[in-house]
Amino acid sequence: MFASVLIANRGEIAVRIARTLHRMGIEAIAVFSDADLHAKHVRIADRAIRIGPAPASQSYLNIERIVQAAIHSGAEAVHPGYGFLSERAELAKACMQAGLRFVGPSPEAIALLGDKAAAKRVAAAAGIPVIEGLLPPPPSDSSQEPERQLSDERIIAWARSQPLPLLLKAAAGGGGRGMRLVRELAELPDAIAAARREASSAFGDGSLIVERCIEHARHIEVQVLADHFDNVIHLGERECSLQRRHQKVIEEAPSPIVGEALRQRIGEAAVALARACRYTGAGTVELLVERDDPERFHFLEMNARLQVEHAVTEAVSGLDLVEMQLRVAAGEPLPIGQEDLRIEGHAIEARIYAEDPGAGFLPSTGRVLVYRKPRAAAARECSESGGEALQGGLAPPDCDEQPRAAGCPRGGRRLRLDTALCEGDVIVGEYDPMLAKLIAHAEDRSSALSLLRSGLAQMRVIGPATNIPWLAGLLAREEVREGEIDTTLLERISGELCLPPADEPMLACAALVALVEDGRGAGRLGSGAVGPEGALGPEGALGSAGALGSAGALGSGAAGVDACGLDAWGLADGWRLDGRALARMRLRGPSREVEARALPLGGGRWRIPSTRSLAQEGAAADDRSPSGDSALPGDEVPPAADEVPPEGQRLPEDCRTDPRGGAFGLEVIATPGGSEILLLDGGTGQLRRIEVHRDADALWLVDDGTPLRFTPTAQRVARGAVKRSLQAPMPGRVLEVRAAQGQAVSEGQVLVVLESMKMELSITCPEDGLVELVNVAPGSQVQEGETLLALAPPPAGEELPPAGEVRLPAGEVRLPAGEKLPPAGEKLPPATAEMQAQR
Amino acid sequence: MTVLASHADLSSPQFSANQAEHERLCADLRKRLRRAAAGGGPRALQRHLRRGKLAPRERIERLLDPASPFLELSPLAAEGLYGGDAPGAGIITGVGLVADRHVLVIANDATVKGGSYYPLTVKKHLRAQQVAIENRLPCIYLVDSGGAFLPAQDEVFPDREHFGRIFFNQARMSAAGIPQVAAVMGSCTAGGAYVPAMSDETVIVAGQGTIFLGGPPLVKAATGEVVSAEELGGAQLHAQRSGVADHLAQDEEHALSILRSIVATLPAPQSAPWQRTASREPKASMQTLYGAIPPDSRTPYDPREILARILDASELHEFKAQYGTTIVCGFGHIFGHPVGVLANHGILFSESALKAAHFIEICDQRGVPLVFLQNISGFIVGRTYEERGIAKDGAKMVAAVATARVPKLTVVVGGSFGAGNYAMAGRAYDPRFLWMWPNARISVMGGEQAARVLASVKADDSGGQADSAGQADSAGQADSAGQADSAGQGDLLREQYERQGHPYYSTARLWDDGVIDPKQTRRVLGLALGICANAPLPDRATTMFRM
Repeated sequence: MFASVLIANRGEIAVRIARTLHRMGIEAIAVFSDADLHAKHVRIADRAIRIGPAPASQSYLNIERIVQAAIHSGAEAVHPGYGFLSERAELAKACMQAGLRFVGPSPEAIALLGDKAAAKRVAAAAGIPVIEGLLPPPPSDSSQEPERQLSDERIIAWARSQPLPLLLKAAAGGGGRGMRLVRELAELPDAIAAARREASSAFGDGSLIVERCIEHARHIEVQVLADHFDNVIHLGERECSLQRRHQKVIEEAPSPIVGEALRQRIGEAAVALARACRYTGAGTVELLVERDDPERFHFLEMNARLQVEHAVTEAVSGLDLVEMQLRVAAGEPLPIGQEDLRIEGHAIEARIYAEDPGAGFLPSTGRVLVYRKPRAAAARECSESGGEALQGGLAPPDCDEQPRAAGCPRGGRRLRLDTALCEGDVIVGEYDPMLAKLIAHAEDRSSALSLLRSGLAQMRVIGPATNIPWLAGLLAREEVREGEIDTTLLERISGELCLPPADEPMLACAALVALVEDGRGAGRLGSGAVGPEGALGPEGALGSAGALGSAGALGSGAAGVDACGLDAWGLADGWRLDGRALARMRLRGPSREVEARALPLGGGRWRIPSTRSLAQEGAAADDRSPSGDSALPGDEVPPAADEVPPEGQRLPEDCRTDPRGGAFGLEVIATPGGSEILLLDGGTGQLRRIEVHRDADALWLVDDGTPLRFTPTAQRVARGAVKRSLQAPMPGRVLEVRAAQGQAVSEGQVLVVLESMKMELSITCPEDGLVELVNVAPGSQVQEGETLLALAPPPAGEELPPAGEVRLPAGEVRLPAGEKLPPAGEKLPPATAEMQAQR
Repeated sequence: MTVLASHADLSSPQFSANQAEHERLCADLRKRLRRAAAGGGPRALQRHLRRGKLAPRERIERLLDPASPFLELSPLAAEGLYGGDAPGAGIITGVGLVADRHVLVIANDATVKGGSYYPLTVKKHLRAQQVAIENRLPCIYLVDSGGAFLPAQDEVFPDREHFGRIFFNQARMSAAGIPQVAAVMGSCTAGGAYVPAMSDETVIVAGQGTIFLGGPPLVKAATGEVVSAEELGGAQLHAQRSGVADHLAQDEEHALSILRSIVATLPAPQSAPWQRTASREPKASMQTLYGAIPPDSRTPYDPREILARILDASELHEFKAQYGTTIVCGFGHIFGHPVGVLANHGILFSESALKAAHFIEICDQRGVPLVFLQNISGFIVGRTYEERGIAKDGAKMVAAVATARVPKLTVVVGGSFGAGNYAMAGRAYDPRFLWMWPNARISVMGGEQAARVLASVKADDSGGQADSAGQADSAGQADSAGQADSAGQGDLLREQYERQGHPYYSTARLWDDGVIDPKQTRRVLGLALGICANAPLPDRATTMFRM
């Protein structure tokens, strides 16, 4: 066995590989880019080597740097993980040439399987059903020079004879890139062009294959292991039908529709294919199984690497696949034979991504404020006894940092979390957005599902948006619970899973309470940067201090609090001579901006409008009075029954009741530590616990596992409320007029260029609007204060076309041609610019 | 250090009677506050709102930090005056938090006669400015006023403490480093134009705020020029051309957020002149205050019943507990602020006055703010006492009160009569704040006493000179009423004293800063102490004490 192995990867998989290396007493050598200096995979490694700057192309995808790193570190082997270079024959070749072992198949096998067309041919030859389609001619053909690729014409001609829909795929790639579904022949030419473009940019190769599309298929794949002694075994199947845009989301083993007979058939087929391409190590044969006839399966592709979802197979087989890979790479025979395979229980994995399901699954970045793993479950599960001991001590890595103790039973319920995530990590956009995999293993599918759901519910990742709540919603779906899944299910139901929480406005009110109860510096919130021109940046809302939380306010001159705690002003309770005032604050929530309101009742208790009453209010928004304040009697002053709040001082219906009656509405109760608030429904008596987390500039409430971010904002200014005319700031000559009457213009767009005092002066558009009047023409002499043009507000509800101009702040001075320009992004005050210009 | 306990007997009929009476008085107070807070009433408010404006109180709510306390000043100014036309005197003033610091807000209520300045409006505005001056509070003016109430120009315009004083104060405060910030949310005509113009920073609301020395009618009358209000002094003109305003707000909410932004950029106030400790709740319950305190100022009671309910942990370090026992002096804390309290427990004798003067001197020496709980019918009278020099001893106390550099806070919890008013930091002695309880009475002497004095003077000196200053006015009345019915005269006088000595008569005329629910006393004092802590203490200056 090797003494040291270099892991040519990062993140979750690098950590997972290192764990097995450590268990086997092998030195783990990490590589890292500049973005990963503090990353966990670097910290847990025995040694770490920098391989380049953050962009993957200059670090984790740089074969030369990785091989050099391996040589310099004295590693004996390189494990590529998955993704990055894992399926690049060049890396395998470069390792061989450098005298290093590559933990994976031979370069030839990688190259063969990486070519979809070639792989399909081999599969067909090995007797595996392949989907009917058109492949480019094999490279060995004599006519390879002119027709290495399928031409558009050939694809179109073939398509005419086929039932629709069809699927175009990049011959060189995977992961859904360069893939196009074609439902109409008329779409085909455009689809071909688009697929080629994508394939070229993703894989540097625009060649395509085309095949019939099997709709309503289930994605089932077979894990194979092969050594250098012609031993090839399979470890059963995984089902990965829950995919979003060809990205797997939920994977499980075994498949709910694969029986023993089918398992044997597909297993044998996979083994045959592995043999046919002289495969070594761990590989996966992906199949499409027809939903309505599971006996009909078709070869999709074979992945020449460890899969992301290998952990479910580890769970049910009790094997450590990374250990198997290492043994094979070190030249050892496989320690088990096919007959030793025993699949036990059911395992399901959920992939946790830093992405925002509410925003079209856009990758989300930023600092991880809170990270909490489902520790309780893991600890509980592992301490349970019963079941049998693991064979051969082949324990897969346990739930994150708690390696499974040797002898911990395989049976019973168990959660495993594979991740490199740490609190405080900054998620960057450079790399794959997958943060973690949570794997539940239990005696049967429904137990595994509920275990996974409870694990997800306990897990907290706050900071970048994640799909955790979305996954929880998905796992609760009946289709998923019943196993009625196929590869298009997620596309069909995704809309229903992405609904913003209905309680958001109500929770905004609760957030207001948390903010006020928490930071006596709440006053600094929302008193921030509103420029005289109403130029309020999206993030310009926080006050200068921006400090949420009492620490920031202490000793900073904030009234109401000092080192001795709160005084009469610090009791943020809206105290008035005649009662208490409603507290209000504008908060931006995940989906909207809300004016949050809460009525202080004193002593950390507040009343907020319920979701129901807020909804009613929204419905009656038409007659909404701009005046909503009211002082309701507080504890010191009992309510007077004969008094009705003055006209125009309205409260939501359920805030208007006797504060101590509690018959309606929600009471918010702040807890002493501030780590949670309680919501008590006065009507039903239901109590909800809302976790509270604080960021530098935001507050997070976790409701039912969903973190909602609320930021205090200053008043959002209604744009276009003021009709503006642009005047010449100084006397000069008009050089250019870049706007015409009636033209839609946007903020920052240069409208007029003046020459004055030997300088060019750009007059920029102060806000989006329409040019109502142009008063000058090129060559006009203008006096200071003379109107150049007039703007009118943009027509309501119309999106303006984006301006083609470089954005410059109004009044910024541009220097005449020939002068040295100041560095980009640097704004010069006019006086400075003038001095420079005259120098 | 003594922990004060309440000795109220919760089951006594007296307790219930006290409680019922205080509840009645406080319900009446709340009713008055609500009525005044409604300003010019629903119709005027609707008109105001239809113009796209926010209600004046709403402006303040949106200006202040969420859940900030707001210590309103003189909310019942002009109560019962001007035929009820000017609730709150058409202006709202008070102290609240903006961007975590105390600011003084002065907001015109345009629903009340267009925000015109009645004589008491001027007085209330000036009083608020005085609070700002004494406590170094940034001033925020929410301007929406048509200017002076012209029919009363003689009571508004010419005198020292009239309209012009507003701008004088602005300039002097600005000079002293007390920021002056204005938002123009409506008209600012003539003199009113100087409020924004004299401010350090001014915001104007587009399409709503106007500033001009002479409005369109005046301009037309003077020069014949016909011009609209917007052209003459609109927001754009002032923000873009004249430079009278510094920030152009698109609407009121925007203006308020600009104001918040301005306050957030102000330099921090100096550190407090005294050290706070952690605030502790009193051990005695405020809930039993009503029952423990006889509402009639003629019924004596131990002021420690009040102190037990307003001092932190009910702790009092009493000074000279065995000497001059008709005044209770001692050190304690309110919301962590150190205080020296003086509370009347009967009439002031020489010993009491000397003790109080001594105690005030100690507090002044140590920089401890003073809290006066006033319930005083006066100094002792009689030959013995005059002979012992009660006048000079009383003078010592009055002199100590007058010259103390530390903040004085006065709460009139019962009677405030005669020279006792002076010695216990009455309005003339510049306490930083002065409040009255709804059961309090204030006059040169009690109505009953005045009637008896009058009758006695009459009897002694029928047709002769009345030489008691306190009865000069009444004597004239008495003459016209005829001599036959001196009992009737006494009733008239009693009625007059009762009416004029009533807290709402007082508060309507700004003899105080407001009438407060007794249960709010601790909180109000705590808020006031927080405000007072913004201003450093001047150097100590001791007067001449007549020995």
